[in-house]
Amino acid sequence: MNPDRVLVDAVLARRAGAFERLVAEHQGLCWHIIQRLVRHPEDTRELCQETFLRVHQYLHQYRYESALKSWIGRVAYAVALRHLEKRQVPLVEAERDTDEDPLLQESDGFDLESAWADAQLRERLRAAIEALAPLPRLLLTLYHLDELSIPEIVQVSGLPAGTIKSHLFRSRLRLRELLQTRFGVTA
Amino acid sequence: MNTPPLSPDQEREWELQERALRQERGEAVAAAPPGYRLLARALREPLDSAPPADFAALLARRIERAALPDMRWERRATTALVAMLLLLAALGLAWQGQDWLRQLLDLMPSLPRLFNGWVLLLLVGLGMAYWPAPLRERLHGADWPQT
Repeated sequence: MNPDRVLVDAVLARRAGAFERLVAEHQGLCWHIIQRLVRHPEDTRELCQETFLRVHQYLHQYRYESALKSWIGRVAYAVALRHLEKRQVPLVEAERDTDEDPLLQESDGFDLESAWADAQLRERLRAAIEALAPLPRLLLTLYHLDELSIPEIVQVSGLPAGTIKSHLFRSRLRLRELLQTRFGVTA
Repeated sequence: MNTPPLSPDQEREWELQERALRQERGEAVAAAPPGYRLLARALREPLDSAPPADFAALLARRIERAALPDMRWERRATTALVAMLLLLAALGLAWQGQDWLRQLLDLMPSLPRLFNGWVLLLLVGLGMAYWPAPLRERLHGADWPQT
C-alpha cells in the first residue's frame, strides 16, 4: 500500500503519534521552502507551524493526485508567499538583459578541493547565494539540496517548468560569473 | 510568468551545470567545469537553521489539545435515548392517547391553515441554510486546500 495513504489514513483516524510522524517526515522540506523565501528564523518557525496546522485542517481534501510531500510543500509555499505579499517583498529581481550573461569558458588549472577548503571563499559563495532573490534562492535549494525534480518543483510552486529551468540556469550562471569576476576564481 | 526557452548555447551551458550537479551527487558522468562543481557542492550544504528537535512533538500536542473531543459515543447514546423516548411516547399514546389526541386536535389550528405560504417559505429557508454545506464540500473537494 502507498506509504502516503497509510500515513494519511492514520492521521485521519486520529491514531496516536500519526500526526507527529507526518510532521517529522515533512518538516525538513517545509522548513527549507519557508526559510528560503522569508529568511527570518522566527517567521520561519511560525509559518511552518501554520503550514502544518493547515495540513491537519485540510488533510481530508488530499486526493493522492500528487505525492504527500508535494502537497505539503505547496501549502508551505502558499503560506510563505502570502507572508511575502503582506510585506510587499518581491519574489524575483527586475529582469536583467539576458545578453549580458556571458557563457563561461572552461579552464584548466583550477583545484576544486583547495578552493572548497578555502573557508573565506565558501563563506562568500554562501553569502552570494543568500543575496539572490527569494524565488531563485528557493528553486536552487529545492533542486540541489532537497533533490526535487523540475516536475516536483512544478507541483510545489505551480510555476511552469520552463520558468523554473530558466531561473535555475540564470542563477547558476550568475553565481559562477561571480566566482570568476568578484572572487577571482578562474573556473 | 512564462519565459522563453533557452537558446542552443544556453542549453549547452545548462548541460554543463547539470553534469556538475550529477558529478557532485556521485554519478559517473563526464567531468564538469570545476566552477559549477564548486557551486553545486555549496548548494548541497545544509541551511543554517533547521526545525527544533521537538518541533513535531510540540505541534502534535498543540493539535491534540485544540482538536474537538471524540463525540461518537455521546452521539450514539443521544440517539438511543431519543429512540427510547419516542417508543415510550408511542406506547403511552397507544395506551391512553385517545382522549389526549382529541383534546390536542381541538387546540391546534386546522391543517390547511398550518400549511399556508409562510410555513412553506420557512421550509425553503431551512433547506437553503443546510444544503450548501455538503454541496460546498463537494464543489471544493479539489486536491489543494484553499489558502
